[in-house]
Amino acid sequence: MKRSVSITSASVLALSLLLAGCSGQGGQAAKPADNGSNAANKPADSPAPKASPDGKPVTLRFATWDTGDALKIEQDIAKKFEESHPNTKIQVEAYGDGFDQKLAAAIGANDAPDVMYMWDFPTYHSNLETLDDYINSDPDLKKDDFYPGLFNYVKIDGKSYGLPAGFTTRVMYYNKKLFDAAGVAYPKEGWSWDDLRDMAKKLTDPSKKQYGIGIRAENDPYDLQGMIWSNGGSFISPDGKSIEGFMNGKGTVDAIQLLGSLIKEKVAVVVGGKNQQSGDDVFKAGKIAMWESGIWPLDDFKKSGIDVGTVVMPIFSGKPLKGVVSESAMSISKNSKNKKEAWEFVKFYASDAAIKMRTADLPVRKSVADQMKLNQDPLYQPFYKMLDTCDNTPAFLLNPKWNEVNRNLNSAIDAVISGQNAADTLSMAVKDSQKFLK
Amino acid sequence: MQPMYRTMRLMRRSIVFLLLAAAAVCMLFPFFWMISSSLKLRSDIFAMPPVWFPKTPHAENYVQLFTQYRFGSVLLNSVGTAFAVTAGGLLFSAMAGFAFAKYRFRFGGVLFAIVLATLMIPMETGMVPLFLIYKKLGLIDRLIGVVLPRLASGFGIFFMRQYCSSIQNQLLDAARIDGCTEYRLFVSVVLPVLRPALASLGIIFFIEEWNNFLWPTVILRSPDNLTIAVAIRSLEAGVRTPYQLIMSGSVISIVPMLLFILFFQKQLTAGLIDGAVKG
Amino acid sequence: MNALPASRGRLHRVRYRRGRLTPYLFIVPWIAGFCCFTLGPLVFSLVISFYDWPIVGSKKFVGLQNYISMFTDDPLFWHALGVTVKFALLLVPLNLVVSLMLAVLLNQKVRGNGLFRTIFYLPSVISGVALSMIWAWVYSGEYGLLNYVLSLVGITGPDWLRNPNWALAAMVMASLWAQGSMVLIYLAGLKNIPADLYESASMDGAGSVRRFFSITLPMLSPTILFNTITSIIAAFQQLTLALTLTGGGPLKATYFYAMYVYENAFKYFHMGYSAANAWVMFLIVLFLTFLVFKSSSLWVFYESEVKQGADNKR
Repeated sequence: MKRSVSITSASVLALSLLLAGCSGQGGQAAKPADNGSNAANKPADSPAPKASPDGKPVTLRFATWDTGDALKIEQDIAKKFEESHPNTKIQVEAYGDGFDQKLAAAIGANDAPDVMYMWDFPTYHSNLETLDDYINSDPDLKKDDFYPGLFNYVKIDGKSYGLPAGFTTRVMYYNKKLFDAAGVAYPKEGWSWDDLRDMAKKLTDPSKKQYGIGIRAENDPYDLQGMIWSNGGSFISPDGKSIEGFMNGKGTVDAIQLLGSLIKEKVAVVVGGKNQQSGDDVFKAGKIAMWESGIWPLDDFKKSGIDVGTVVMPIFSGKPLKGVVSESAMSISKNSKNKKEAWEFVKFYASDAAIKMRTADLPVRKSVADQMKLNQDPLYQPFYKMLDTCDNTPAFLLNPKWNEVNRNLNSAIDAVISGQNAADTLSMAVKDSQKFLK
Repeated sequence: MQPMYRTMRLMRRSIVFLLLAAAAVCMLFPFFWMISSSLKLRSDIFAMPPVWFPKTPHAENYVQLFTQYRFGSVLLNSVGTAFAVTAGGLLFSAMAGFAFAKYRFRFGGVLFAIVLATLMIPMETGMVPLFLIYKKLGLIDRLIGVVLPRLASGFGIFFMRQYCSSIQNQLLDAARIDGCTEYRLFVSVVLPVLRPALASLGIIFFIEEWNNFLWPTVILRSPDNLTIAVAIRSLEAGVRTPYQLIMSGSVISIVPMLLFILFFQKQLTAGLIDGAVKG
Repeated sequence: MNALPASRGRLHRVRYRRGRLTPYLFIVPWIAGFCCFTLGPLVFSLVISFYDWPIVGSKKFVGLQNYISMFTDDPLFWHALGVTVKFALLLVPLNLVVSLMLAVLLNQKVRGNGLFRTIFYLPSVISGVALSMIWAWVYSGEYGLLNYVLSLVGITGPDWLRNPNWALAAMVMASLWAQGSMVLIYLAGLKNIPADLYESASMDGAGSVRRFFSITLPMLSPTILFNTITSIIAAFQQLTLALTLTGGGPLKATYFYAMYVYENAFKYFHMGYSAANAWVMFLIVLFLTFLVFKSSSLWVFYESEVKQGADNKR
């Protein structure tokens, strides 16, 4: 008898250890009687007090995809906000590349952060607070000061789900030293892709592993839209209902094929890819003469001591230039318990002070851009010129199932970069994607 | 005859040594690169040709991790969870593995099949449901939530069961005849015999937990609650990833591992010799 | 483990009488943990697999539709499965052989073998992200270490990770590198082989090769079985490396099944479809493990069986 008791107790001990683990944390909140009034017993990592109609301290959770120096800027903005709003604490949660995964899981469990960075409104809008009332009724916001086009990117069915926080257009960077050395004139507004091809030929020197232009191994189809629109193409029909004849239409196919042929002609080099040296790095190393990108690397290029110039994107002869805007916005969770504070923070993010701290993208307010004289800076001018051409609607805003289509489109474009024929791969992508559009 | 034999042995040992040394260089070289990169500027990491030694070492990479990413708490969190998982996991694995290897009981076969089956369940399958359960239990953003699911390790049970299978039954029966209870049998006969296996499995548990990131990434979010694998992973951000910080973070993350391995190296060796002598 | 012969008499009865409750008590902690953290979520995920269950938005019961469209309407499913099978076929045998070789070398009485053991184990302590960065650098076409070494012997290496024909092979090599735990498990098994077996074999004049095949391999077979099964499972579930090293590319050449499951869930948010994907994978791996186990009676040899046999003869 005694024997079986001892072994029973052993297992019970083990089990209770396990259960203690379970309830030790979960149970503490559920059993206030055990803890009595001893506030010190409260686990240190328990969520900070919420609910604050009467000015009690509030902790806002703010989720961002930035890391490193960009994150540092956000942490500083949050700190600054805390200084002027002593009752609100901002907990910056940096998710990096895990952003979508963590956000989706959190939303699925009804546990979304109060405030978050956002761009993919078609996917998330049903879980976000509509901000139109805040935007239109808040006198401090001065909505008219924002670049007007920016609000198009945060709207679904006419309602705004985010406040623009930063944006960029895409331009061509070029390395003046390499142009000078090859005796090639710098590209100017109005230049064409044919001009680019000629320049690239002259700027390529395989013996030095130097190429005219770098092309990404993995392109985000979103970023290529400017080029495709400039060639009269588009991924999807303007009503968002069909892709046949658009995604594999002539304008689209020719534009994407052009990238593939630049590589085949060996005047372009493939850069980037996961954990590989990025195009930014190759450009900084002086191994490519031209590089297409947004505003993000500009600061870094300037610091690295290369003689960098910027120019608007090339045109397809006889066709108007079109650009695409990449925008990040701030959104508030529909289920946030502290929407008032959250709006204060979102608004602060778009204030002059905060915008000036954000050096990694372009100011969303005209007044700030004017104040910083960005319009007169030759390096920044092309970005604003491109902004004037950004009047097409990107595909992801036209069809709620775009993410699915995009998956096939993405593979098709990757295949072109690795040498396959754009007409074939894009037609295949259309065929594989039809089921999503029914 | 004797000298000849000795030469042969010496030759054989030298060959083995050379093979081992060559393999060791392959294994060690990346560490050198990791340490050197952790002291570089981001731009030098992908420089062509490679920068082997940074001209001026940038130790501020490390400082940045401790100030901006709170690596102090992050390290403590990792040590705590890894130790909890190792201790708990070893005990439960040994208990269950012993039961499966040395007892016949109703549903034993079925239950063991279930243990094996748990090995094959991809973590992603249960992730969202588990997340919902955690939400109910209030385990989200808590380190204990990282530890709990790891305690019932199918791998550990399978490992221990294989090991226990080779324990000789006479040893157990002899102890039983001497009047040993099953509980005492486990603690004073089985566990000592299992020492080498416990050491091996313990190291595996510890390191797996130390590097575990999929589930912790999903549930942990406060900067002060992250474990080191999650903290390093959260540094990744596409082309703008601060690679130099990932490298310094990795260097920081292997230091405790090295200490752990070096410390338990003795236990491990002792355990192994023990096992060899007894076996 | 196998059926005990009835002739074992007294001992058998002793063990049986005491054994009634005891084994259950030993496994109770596992069962508790299993029910909370594995079974519960699993049942839930089976339910989800019959739904169109976007994580964000409303759910709809669709019956077997997820399973049907996976097999009939999703080329990516077959592609990912094919990549995974290829990976497993390459990796598992290589893994078993290379780890065993290293373990046997480490088991020799060589100066500094404790140090070597630590060094061989080191790669497995590096976390996924750093590991993949190191490999990305080793494999880089233009300035990678591997191609540099190859160029020394006059070979122009491919751009490993950007070349669809080589990326999977590169992945296999990278996986082999971090197999310290398997070496350790083999080593524990080797140390457990009684030294007297080797001694008596040596006295009988068996050379080292013969000793390896007639003593080491059979005595190690339970460990080999263990490593075979866990490495098949690990190969089928390989996610970290794909996620952090190649992201599934180039041209989906390293798009493992686990990555497909993961992306369906956390990139495209088809929780229902992804749960169905995961269940299919589970069944496949279950079947493979079953095959290995069934075959194991042919080649796995438990020492205790022999001892028991000897007892019975007595």
